[in-house]
Amino acid sequence: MSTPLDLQIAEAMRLVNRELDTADQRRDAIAETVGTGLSEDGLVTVEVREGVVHDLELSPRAMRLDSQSLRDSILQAIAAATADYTESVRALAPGPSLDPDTLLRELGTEGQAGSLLGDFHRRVADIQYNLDQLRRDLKNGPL
Amino acid sequence: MSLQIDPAQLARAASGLDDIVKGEYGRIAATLRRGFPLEAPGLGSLLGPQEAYYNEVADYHVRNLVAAGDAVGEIAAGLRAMVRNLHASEEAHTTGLLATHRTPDDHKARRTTVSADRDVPAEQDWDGVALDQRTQSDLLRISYAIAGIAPSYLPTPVAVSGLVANLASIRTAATELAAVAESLQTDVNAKFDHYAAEATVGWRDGGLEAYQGVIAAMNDELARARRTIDALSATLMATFAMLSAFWSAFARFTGDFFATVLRLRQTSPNPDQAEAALASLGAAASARWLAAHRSVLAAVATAVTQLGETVAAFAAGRAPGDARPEIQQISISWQPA
Repeated sequence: MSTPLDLQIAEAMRLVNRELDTADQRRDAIAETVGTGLSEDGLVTVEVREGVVHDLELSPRAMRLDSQSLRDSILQAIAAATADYTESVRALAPGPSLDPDTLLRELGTEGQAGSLLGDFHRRVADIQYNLDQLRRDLKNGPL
Repeated sequence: MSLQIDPAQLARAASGLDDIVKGEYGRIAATLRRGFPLEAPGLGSLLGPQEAYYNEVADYHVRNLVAAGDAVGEIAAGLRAMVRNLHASEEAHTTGLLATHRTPDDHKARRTTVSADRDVPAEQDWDGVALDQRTQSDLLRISYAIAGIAPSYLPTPVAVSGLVANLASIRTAATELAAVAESLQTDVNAKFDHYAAEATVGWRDGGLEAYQGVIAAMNDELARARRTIDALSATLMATFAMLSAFWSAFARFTGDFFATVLRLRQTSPNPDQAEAALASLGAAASARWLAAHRSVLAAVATAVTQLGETVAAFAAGRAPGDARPEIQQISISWQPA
């Protein structure tokens, strides 16, 4: 008969195995992910692969822009392409947020890990209370 | 003052004590001896000193129960001696010491060594124990894999590896000790009380009060033995609960955390940012698990240490392995007034 601990460990192992099974597929999908972005004036197009700028396309009309305007258009296109890439990658990674700040908060007192450890420390406190009671009983007994 | 006894009553009481009760103490001591040792890795390597102390205390109680059986045998011998003396004397008058008083040297010479057959396998079904340890090892392997991704998490698997314990064996031993305590309370001690009291029917004067004093002292010590074995069981069960709670929480955390760090490393658009986040996450998680780890060690150490207060000799600072069983210290003798 499975104990609650067995079930919890089995669930943990299921999560790990699922993650390992899908890790390769996810890695391939991420490698093929392309983020594209267009400048506000529509003259610059950027393509991002594997987190870096992979291609940049300038409309012939872009060559008529002054250098400052061209710079701004290129940066806009890169920002848009990076955002598109990041969003696409996030869509391939279901589950909790991967924002580091959010993850750190989840490890804190209010997150899932905090709740888990909070339960654990409450159980430890209960057990210690029972042990203290046992100690009092032994001291008050005819020893 | 003349002695009035019912020889048939004394003989029946002596037979009950010698043929039934003495054997019961021997059997229950053997049950305790088989039941208390923990299968490897026991409480885990970090709690090795606590496990060693637990073994000493439990071993003491085995010797105490063996001593109880011997003491019961001596009481029966004393009662039979009274009957013999009665038959030998026309006046039915007994004046001598009826049971042999033990000297401290006798105690030492008769002291039982229980370690001799400690290696005899217990008649237990240990199925499932290996599974428990294997899953604990699996969780550690996953934790080391996490540390491979987030090196700041490394202290966690290193520390937790010292808590790999045989949870099933701990629970089984706790249950067996509780059964021993229960059996002592409801069965064996009750039988002793019954047969010891039976001897007093029809007994007037002639050492009755001293005999009742011996029985009362035995009853006190036997009740104390029951209580301390019960405390041993409760301590072991609390240790089991503590370790189970830890592993349960650790199991639930590890699966989720592994998935998180793996995804973070694989999917972060910025590798430097991912490394920094993994370092922070690993350190934060490790700090929390090391705190939980310390809680377990401290609680179990306190629990096992308080076993030292269950017997006066331990409380006085004597190691359980060197302590003479308290039941051996009862003087089994009574004289006609």
